[in-house]
Amino acid sequence: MTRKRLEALSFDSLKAVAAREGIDVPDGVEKILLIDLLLEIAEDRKEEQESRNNNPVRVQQKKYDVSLSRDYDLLPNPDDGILPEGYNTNRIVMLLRDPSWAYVYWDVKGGTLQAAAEEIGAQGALLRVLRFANEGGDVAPGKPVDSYDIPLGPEDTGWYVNIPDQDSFYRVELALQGENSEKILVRSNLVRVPRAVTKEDLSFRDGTPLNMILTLSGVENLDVFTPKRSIPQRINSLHEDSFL
Amino acid sequence: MSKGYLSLVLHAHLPFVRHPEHEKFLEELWLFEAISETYLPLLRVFERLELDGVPFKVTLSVSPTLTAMLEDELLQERYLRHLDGMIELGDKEVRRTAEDSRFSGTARMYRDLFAENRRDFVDKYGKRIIKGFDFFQKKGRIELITTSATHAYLPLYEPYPETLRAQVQLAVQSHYRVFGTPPKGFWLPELGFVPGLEEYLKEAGLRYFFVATHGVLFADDKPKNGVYGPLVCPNGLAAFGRDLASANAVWSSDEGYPGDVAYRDFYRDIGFDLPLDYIGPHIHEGDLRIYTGFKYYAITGRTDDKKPYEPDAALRKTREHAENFIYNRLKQIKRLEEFMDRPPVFTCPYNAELFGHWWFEGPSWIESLFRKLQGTAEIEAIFPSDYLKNHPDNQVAAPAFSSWGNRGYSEVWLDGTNDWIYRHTHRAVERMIELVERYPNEKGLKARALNQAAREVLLSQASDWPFIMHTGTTVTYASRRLKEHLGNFTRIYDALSSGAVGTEWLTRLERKNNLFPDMDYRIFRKREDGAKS
Repeated sequence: MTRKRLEALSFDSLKAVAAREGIDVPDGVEKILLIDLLLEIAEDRKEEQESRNNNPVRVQQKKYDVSLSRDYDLLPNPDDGILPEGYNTNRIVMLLRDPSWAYVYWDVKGGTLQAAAEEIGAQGALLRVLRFANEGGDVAPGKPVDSYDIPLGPEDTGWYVNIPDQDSFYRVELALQGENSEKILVRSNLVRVPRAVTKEDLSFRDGTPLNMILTLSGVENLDVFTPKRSIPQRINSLHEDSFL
Repeated sequence: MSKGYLSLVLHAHLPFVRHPEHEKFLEELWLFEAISETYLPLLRVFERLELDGVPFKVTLSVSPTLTAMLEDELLQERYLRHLDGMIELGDKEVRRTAEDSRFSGTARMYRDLFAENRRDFVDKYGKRIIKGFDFFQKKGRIELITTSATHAYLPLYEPYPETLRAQVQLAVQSHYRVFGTPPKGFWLPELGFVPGLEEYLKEAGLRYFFVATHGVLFADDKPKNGVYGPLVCPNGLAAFGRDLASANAVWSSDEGYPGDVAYRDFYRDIGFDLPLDYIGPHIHEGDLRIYTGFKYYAITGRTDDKKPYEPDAALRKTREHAENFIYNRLKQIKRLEEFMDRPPVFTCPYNAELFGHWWFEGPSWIESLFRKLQGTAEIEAIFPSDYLKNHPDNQVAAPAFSSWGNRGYSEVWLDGTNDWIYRHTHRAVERMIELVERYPNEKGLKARALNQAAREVLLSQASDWPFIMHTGTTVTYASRRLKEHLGNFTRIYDALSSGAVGTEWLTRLERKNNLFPDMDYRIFRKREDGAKS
């Protein structure tokens, strides 16, 4: 984002940029102050993002840097292709982000959860997160050993899902809920969640050769996400959250 | 006999960027800068070492998209044009700084560097610098390996075995077509590994790959050699874990060598410092200031008052840092030999572009490293394949889900800035599989359309796009590229469904996104059982 590019935009276009970025524009603000605000927020976000990047990411970023001016997607370009909001089919995919979080997205026939629910007279939709035990590296046959539900809004199409237990398999189901019934629309792929290994599990305690080698390998200096025991997103009652 | 091994692994990659529809295109500079500042300087380092009889071994991963661009005649001509512009700027700079002894030597250095690049590019390599890599491979100095076809971050395509297979198989085929031998090793993009990937690598005839440090340390069995020996997956494929100590010494601009105050500052570039009426002809469209590669200041320290860059002082530093690197490896060996029953191997994987483009003196450091190693009996350079020959018995254990991105997993490529892409790229894979089922044996125009559809699907999967969205460099370009490839794929998909494929449009697209000339769309054939045949 550069001052020059922002100055070339109309005031309404600047407001549209701010709205897209979730920035509240105070009433009566002048164009020049709005530009200052946008630049300041962009700089803060850039610094925050860069502070989270590790060495390989920071260095790799330089490959794509051709200018100090940050390119910024100010407004959609008419030449850009348009992707559909979704696909008119029932599907759901689960992607493991780290041992504690997965990203789930879905599409439904009819376009939205609300439309799908209306078609069968359902009142709400939920995401059911199912855990299956790990038996020697394979999913244990039979029913899930645990589950929890996440109520969904009528326009929801994706969710970041907490994984409470590592060393397991997980999948999610997208379900529509009626007064006294439930219809599973679609089930996701199965995801294997690795066991929770913390630095404490591996660190030097007893001076054995193995632990010495692990310490020398840098186990104490790993900058990796570590799962924490936390309360998963357990929601028991759905009816007050239904959207029809 | 050596008491330790150094396995230097460089990964050279850029996404496929080729815009024949424009006379000049900004993002093609990524390639030109990498050729000028990394690939040609590295080749000169290899040449000098070879001439002086200094033994060296470097494992070099060259991505299929980078190979395609290096072999492309249009991009070769454009690079030449770019070089001529840089030489012209070099001459101007020599004149401009003639009376200023602080900068005149550096100006001559750049002018000579670009002139040397031109001589090497045209006269030595006939515009095909791939020949240089191949020459040193045949000499046994570098071991060329490959990476996924369009550098897809594979863990996020795990639900789609067909595309995992396509990314791996096509990469191996592409490598064989260019270099005439199959690769032994595989660079997982971003060292992104998830259990099960090793099956696809084995299926493609590969023997080893690399993982992040915790990919080994968090294996399903505690690794008895830490990261200083590979693990062998249950299917026989070897996984070498990144050594953290040597990584930090080179990667970190704060604490590592590249941050030394004597080295050249990356940001102080005349593209931003000099008046527009002077620099205009050498930046983008006369007014978007860009890096030119002409930088006159040293890092100096945390100050805006930068000192002039002194190339000789910087060169001396590279020797000092090479010595320091080896000294620290020797210290590690001394500590490890007490606990290990074999010499440790230090696996040091880096992005190739770190050397030269980001860390200007990086190639000189590599040269100093091997010269110093020559006189150091306790440690020798090795290829991973040689290590496996010397030490065929290794601990069997399954590496863990890991990457070298922020916090060790997938968050760089899956966060609020880029999670939206997977709905679309996955859908394209599903439709590509459907197309293969519908058209299992096409020839002629339909086969061409299907092959191009496969190319577009794969191009949409480049990890560069979500990476750029995460880091916020050229987000508009990344987003546009993604949409363009998905749009191209969808147009072919719809055209096949309606039975009418536009020949002219298809031909233009084939000529533009012209990589993988031997593409067979059936590489997306569905198999129910994943990698197992």
